[in-house]
Amino acid sequence: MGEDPYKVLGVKKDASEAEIKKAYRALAKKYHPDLNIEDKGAADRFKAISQAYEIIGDPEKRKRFDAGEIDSSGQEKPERQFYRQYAEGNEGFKYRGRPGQGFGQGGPGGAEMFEDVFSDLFGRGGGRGFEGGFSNVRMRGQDARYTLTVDFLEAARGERRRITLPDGEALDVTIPSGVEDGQTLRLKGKGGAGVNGGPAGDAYVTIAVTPHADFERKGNDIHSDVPMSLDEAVLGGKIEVQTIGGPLTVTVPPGSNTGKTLRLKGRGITPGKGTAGDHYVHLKVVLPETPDAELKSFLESWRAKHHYDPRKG
Amino acid sequence: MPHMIRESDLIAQVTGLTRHEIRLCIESGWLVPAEERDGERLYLDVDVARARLIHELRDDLALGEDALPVVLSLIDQLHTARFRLHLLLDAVRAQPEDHRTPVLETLLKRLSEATPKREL
Repeated sequence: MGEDPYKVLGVKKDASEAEIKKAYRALAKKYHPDLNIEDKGAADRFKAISQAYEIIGDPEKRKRFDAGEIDSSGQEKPERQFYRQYAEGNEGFKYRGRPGQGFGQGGPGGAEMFEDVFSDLFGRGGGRGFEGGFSNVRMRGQDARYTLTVDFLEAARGERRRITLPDGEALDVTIPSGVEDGQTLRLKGKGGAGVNGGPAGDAYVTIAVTPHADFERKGNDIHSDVPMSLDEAVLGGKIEVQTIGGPLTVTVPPGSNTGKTLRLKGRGITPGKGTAGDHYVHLKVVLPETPDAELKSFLESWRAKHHYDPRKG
Repeated sequence: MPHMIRESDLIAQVTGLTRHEIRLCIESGWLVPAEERDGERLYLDVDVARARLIHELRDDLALGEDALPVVLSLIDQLHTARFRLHLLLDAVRAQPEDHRTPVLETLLKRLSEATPKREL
């Protein structure tokens, strides 16, 4: 015993009576065991809060405490009984499921609700009137489910990733090349521990793949738009293209229009099984930002002789 | 014979509780005396604990007359749901092991499916 009651209530030494009362009410609302029925620790916290308030909430006792005449424990009171200790027993029957209340209504959802039920199930917690847990049942551990975000290139190429499970265990996971968004990897035996010698559960890791700015994936093929200059389009030439395996020099044939597609065989995704995909380069003519005088005058004379209408069928 | 106390003892046990407040609780249906004998109301331990809770909700936690029945009703609903859940578990426990285990495994499986995946 001996926690500073001012600290317990979170108020300053010179707090007014009203401030102390306000702080106490806020904490009591939060921690009252009958308002935190599922939380076993609430009784201890509430006890500390009540005890602190009993001392500094009472001007007489507060004076004596401040003067060092009494300590923070005050005097011990007999263990008090909360309503929740009776509510589910036989005596509580008359307050359960009364007209317009419990019957036919769904309880709160969520996994927390089951947590202490589970501890009852496995005999870890105290049974509340229902004797005998399941402490002798041999059972497989619970499966754990996770998501793991990998970037586009990691997913395309595949790689080993070191991950840390919530229990602190570090684990090297092989992300297979060509793993798809939403695909799930199974890590055998990396779920919850088995019960009474049962095998451990598995961990299921769902992969989320972040998109790439330039690459688009279709099956095992990769598509990308690649700009080329006017002269490269007309005359052809060698350009550097980014692929998932790194840069590659590619020949643009003379007279390549916007929309022309080059297929780079085998440069797509190489999956664990099956054949490698291809990389499709979609060419796009990009004019200079500001056409220079020379280009303009050349095209003017060129147009006079070679005008064509690409919109004519 | 369950342990029962008289209303005067109830008042003595719950600091700050008044006869007037008890009457209000009974009239509102929040508190149900165990029985009446020779014109005197008798209370069980559960009633004492519940009267203390109601008094604290009203006094310490300053719940208003509108909020109190709502809170009490929610508390009762929660205990009702938990009571039924424990009945169900008790029924499962009463089964032989080879019946019990698949039920529990299915339960754990459903729980795992219903739990949001955690980001690694």
